[in-house]
Amino acid sequence: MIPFPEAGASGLDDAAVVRILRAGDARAPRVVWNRLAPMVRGMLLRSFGPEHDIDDLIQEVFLTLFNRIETLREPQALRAFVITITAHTIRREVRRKIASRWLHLGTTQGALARDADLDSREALVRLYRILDRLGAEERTAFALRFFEGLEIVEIASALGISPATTKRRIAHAWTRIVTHAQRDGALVEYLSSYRPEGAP
Amino acid sequence: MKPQEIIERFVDLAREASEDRIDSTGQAGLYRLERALSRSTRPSRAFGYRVGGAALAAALGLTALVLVQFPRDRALTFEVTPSCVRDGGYVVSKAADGQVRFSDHSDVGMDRGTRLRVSSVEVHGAHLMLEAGTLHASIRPRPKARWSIDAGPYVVHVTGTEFDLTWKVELQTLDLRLRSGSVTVEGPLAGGDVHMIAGDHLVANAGDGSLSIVDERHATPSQDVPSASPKVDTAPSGAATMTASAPAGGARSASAAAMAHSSGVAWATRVARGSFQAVIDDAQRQGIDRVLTEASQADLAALADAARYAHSQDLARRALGAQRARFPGSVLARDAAFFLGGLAESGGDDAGSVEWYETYLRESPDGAYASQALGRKMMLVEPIRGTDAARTAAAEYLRRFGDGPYAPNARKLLQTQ
Repeated sequence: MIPFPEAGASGLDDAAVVRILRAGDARAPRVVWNRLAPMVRGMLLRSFGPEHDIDDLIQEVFLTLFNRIETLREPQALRAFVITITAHTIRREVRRKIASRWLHLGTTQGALARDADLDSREALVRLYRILDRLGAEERTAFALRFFEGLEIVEIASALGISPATTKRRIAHAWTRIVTHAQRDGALVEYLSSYRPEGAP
Repeated sequence: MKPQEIIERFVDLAREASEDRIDSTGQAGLYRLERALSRSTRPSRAFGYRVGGAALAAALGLTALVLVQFPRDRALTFEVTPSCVRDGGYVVSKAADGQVRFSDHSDVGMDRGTRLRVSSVEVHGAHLMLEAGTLHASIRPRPKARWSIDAGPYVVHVTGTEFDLTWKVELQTLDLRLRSGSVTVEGPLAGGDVHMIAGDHLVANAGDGSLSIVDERHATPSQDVPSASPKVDTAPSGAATMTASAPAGGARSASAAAMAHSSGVAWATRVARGSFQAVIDDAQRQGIDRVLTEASQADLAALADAARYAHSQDLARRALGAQRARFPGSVLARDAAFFLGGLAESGGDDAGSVEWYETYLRESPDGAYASQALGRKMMLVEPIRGTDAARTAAAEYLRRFGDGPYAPNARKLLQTQ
């Protein structure tokens, strides 16, 4: 049994958490969950938007982490390891969505609100519908770059592609998102008047 | 509008809508993970794609499409573990943890000896028949979901929900404890069909037509509706068919009878509908301090629930604290200790959480949340009080709830040297 510091689990560094994970300690799920679930949930929420059920995906990320923890070479890199698992989960889920939409012949999405009804949630739904038009690689790279603020090198490493390819995919995603958004007059109008919380 | 601005505002919107935090509701994911790990569940989909050539990629892609599509457009499939399934979907649970798992991630656990028949499966649900015993259902909410469970003369119609259902053939008694969501129960019930919401506990007897519903979340026994002149016709085979005629709408829980507020709708009802923020807004309009000192017991409970579900943990703590201070000894006040334990746990205060769970177990040793409180205490106590304390809790858990959700963890703890 690995002793906990007086401060409790929050005082553990990533290497100690990895040791607990590898030891099969009964406390491991809770320690890892409390430390990493907020980040994983946030990444998945931002990647898929408000209409997507992400509970199963969160479970998938953590079950993968438990099954693959032995492959982590640098225990201090736990967070990066989880980001990589989450990135793969996002990419796989995007592929699944694309496949599902293809087989459903594009009939799975609900109707959008009328332009006059546009509010922040509806604007967000429209923006995520634009993301839905992207390929899995482009969308995942875009999400990691802009939603998560990762560097090109980090994204390339997480997705197992070269930095040059990463840049191309992000640039392609950017162009397509902007093009589609500009065709939606109500969306552009909403975004023009939108000010994030805390902005002057 | 410049392209840069479009992207920036999209990102701002997305970030505003998704804070990196896990609230008390999200903690349910931890419990689910612990259960999955204790069963050595592996992720349903492999990590990553390792595709060599184009032909192989195409083949795998096609397979993936079929796997993706199958549970969505075709009738659900199901598997039974570790029980056995016979002709006609007849399932007998030979072990204490028999389970029927459906392809839409709904699952139905069965106590030992429970007899269940999967009569039919459809695209959006299934029709089950509980012949005898107890099942624990977790039906995944989906659009157009259509599930039903026959139990004797009763039919439980389900959309997405969690509940425990027992049918005792010899006593002709239906016992339904609804943990989340809502269901409608059809059958020989006084007043016709009964719509139940989360927290309702229904006991109906087909023999004498009696029916009682207790709202366990809001303490007050809401009804005990005796049958109103049940008419019983005994068929030659000995089977009984019956009708009962009590006033329609008589069977409803206390939550609906609670004090109405600015919208004219009781807080408990609004919580049941998922309007958590509306309840909080209503309380804020009236003044939180005033509400905490003057509101009825049911309203305090509803406010605490709304606050917990809406992630307002501080308000939830205050409401639960007021519940305990103003109505000491009541069921709701005792239950508040359990919820305060959950809030402490999600806030990272393990020691405080264990103390609240112990308080709950001391005050309500046989309460509705006793199993969960003891299970959570067992999971938390080791780093605080050491292995012996955890093993003691594990032994107690197995003694009291040998088939409970934390039983695998308890066994693991006891096996650990």
